[in-house]
Amino acid sequence: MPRPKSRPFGVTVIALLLLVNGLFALAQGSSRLVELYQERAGLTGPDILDDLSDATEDWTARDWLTVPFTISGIVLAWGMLTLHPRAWLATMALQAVYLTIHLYDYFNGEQRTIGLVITLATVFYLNLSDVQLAFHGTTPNTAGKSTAP
Amino acid sequence: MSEQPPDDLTLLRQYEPLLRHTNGEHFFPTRVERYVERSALWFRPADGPAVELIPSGGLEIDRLGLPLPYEDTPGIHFLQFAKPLTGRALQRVINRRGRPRFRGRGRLARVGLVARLVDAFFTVSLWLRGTVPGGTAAAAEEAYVEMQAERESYTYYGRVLRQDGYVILHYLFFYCMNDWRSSFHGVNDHEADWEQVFIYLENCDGGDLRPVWIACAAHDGAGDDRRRHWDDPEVEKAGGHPVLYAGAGSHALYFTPGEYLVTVSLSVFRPLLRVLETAMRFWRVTLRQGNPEESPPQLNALFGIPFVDYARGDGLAIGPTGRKTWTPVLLDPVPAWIENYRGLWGFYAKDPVSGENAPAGPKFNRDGTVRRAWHNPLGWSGLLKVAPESCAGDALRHRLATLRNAQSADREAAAEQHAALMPLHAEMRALAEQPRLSEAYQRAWAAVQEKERALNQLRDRIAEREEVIRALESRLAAVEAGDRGDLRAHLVHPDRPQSERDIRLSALAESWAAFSVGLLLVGFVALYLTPQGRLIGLGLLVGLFALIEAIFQRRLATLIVRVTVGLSIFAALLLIYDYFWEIVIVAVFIVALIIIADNLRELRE
Repeated sequence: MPRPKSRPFGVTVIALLLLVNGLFALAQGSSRLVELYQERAGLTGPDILDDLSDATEDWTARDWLTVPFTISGIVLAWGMLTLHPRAWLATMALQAVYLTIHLYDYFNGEQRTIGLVITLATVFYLNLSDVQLAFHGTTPNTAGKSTAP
Repeated sequence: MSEQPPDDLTLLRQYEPLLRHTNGEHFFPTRVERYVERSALWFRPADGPAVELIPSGGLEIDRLGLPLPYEDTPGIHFLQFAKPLTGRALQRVINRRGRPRFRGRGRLARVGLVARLVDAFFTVSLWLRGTVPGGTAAAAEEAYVEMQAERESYTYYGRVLRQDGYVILHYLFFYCMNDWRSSFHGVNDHEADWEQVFIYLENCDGGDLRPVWIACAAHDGAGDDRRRHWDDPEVEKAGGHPVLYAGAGSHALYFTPGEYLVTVSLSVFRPLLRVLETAMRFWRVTLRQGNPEESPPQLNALFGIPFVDYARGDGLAIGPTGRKTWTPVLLDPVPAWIENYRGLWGFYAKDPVSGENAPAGPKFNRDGTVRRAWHNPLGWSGLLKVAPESCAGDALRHRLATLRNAQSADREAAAEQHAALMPLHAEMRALAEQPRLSEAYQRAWAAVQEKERALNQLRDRIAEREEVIRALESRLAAVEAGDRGDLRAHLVHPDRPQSERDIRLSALAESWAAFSVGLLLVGFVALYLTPQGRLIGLGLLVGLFALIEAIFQRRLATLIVRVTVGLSIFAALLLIYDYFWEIVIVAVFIVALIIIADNLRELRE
């Protein structure tokens, strides 16, 4: 009979982090879009593009890339809490995006150490064999057991 | 009145195998006489060009058993069966009406890009190594077709050996050519190919003979994995005869029809493989990373060259119930051409790794030493250690008697040592009360310690042996009740054909596999010629290829995980580089906190 899955504590923490980050990014992104819309509302003609860049000048391409992925964390959080295997994979993929951005920042002299450490810890934890079993496995951990001498 | 035991030829015929070949095969087991008559005998001295000793048409099989010219000169004798065809003659053979055509799924799409890169270097190495010239296989095929047209025959050579309670039926099959490389994209080509099958009959108690084991040769394999129990469901039978499947061109023999992925490992990668294996163990065991329900990646396959051995069995079947029947030749006595001829049975290509050089005869290796399969067929298939089934009880009883004798002797010794130890200890106690006899006390103390340790070790051994005896008794009871145990317990890495899923690849995947390595190399050159952004370009190029590969291999999820883990390791190394001492200090603090917390908990309890 398949073993009922139990959610490791760390998964709950990661899910909450994803949720909080996602909600924060959603609020941040929405406010930016509203701000952008308001800026555009009173303007016409070719100046629109200039104003667009003015309105978002403190937002880099990095932010525009990160925010949509981070918002997806809201959905991922639910998947993580229900131990859905695809949520595990998608969270790993999300960490790959974060790592790429962190490494890009690092080589451009904008090191964000805390964020990098959190991402590394998340990857390490999600890749632990027991955690993987919680998402993928239905049998007790048999790692290391072998009938071969 | 007891029945007359069957003669050797009858025994061979009784169990002769049915060989199923693959559709598209060009060569089948034949008589060596006709092959040798068409061959020339050559000698290549160690330090000079080859000289022809006997031209084609002038050589007879018995001549190979006689002393040959240059026998005392360092060098190698070899035969040359076919002179390579070129131009129109080659096209005539290839386009011959009724020529078997082979169609198979490509091998390259079944493995990853790294293996394909290694394969590309292997292909390049063929230009540098000595190889059988192109057109040789076609020439050999033409000669073989002529030989069969003169007199069609399908021959095996057989001998019967009686060793250690077994009667061993040794079947030898001679093919004019191994055209695995040129006709089936395999590892090598060489003139002449000897394949063999062993059937081990039981003759322990002198009763009726019955088959218990069967072993067959495949490439250079030997040992337990080449052997199957006669009653193993994998051993297919046709009218009481075993059915074996010959690889197309290679003629390696398998028990199950299918397509076998043969990975040839290159020794140059061994140090790298060892490092990777250590890192993998650290990753999976120490750091507990990765999904334990997934088998770890086969690092060996990562740097191996993939080849497919097509043993489909959909072509000509030779033997009982097959389309063609055998002409057996009993090797009794063993003819002089087997006993004495140590040279190669085909063209010597001067290939340093020997894959393209023809093999020697059934008795000898290429270096002139005697083949184990010839002089010790039990050892070749790992059977020297296995008692015949009807003697299995005897073997267990013999071992039990040996262990019980040793147990009695050790028990007696333990009792004696124990009896001696107690007075010695009493003496030591007495000496301890006399300060002036301190030296004698020291000696007695040391003696007591030593004898006590020896006695403890002896008792440990007795206890352990008792467990072994109990296990043997349990096994003996099972054997006496007719339990033969797991018939496949001896198999460690048995050959397994690829699954339908592995073989069923789209035409697009096959095309990509054919183009990918070339495109990657062109991409590298283009990057080299680009003045800027080489590093980013290299990353994008490798990333793009990895993505396409993952899609075709249906391993997108694996790619995502590996990319994430790879980026993590890289980022972690950067952090360690930047914050080494900070990390050390934090680690020391954490360890100190854990120790304090642990001690406090103990104190509280």
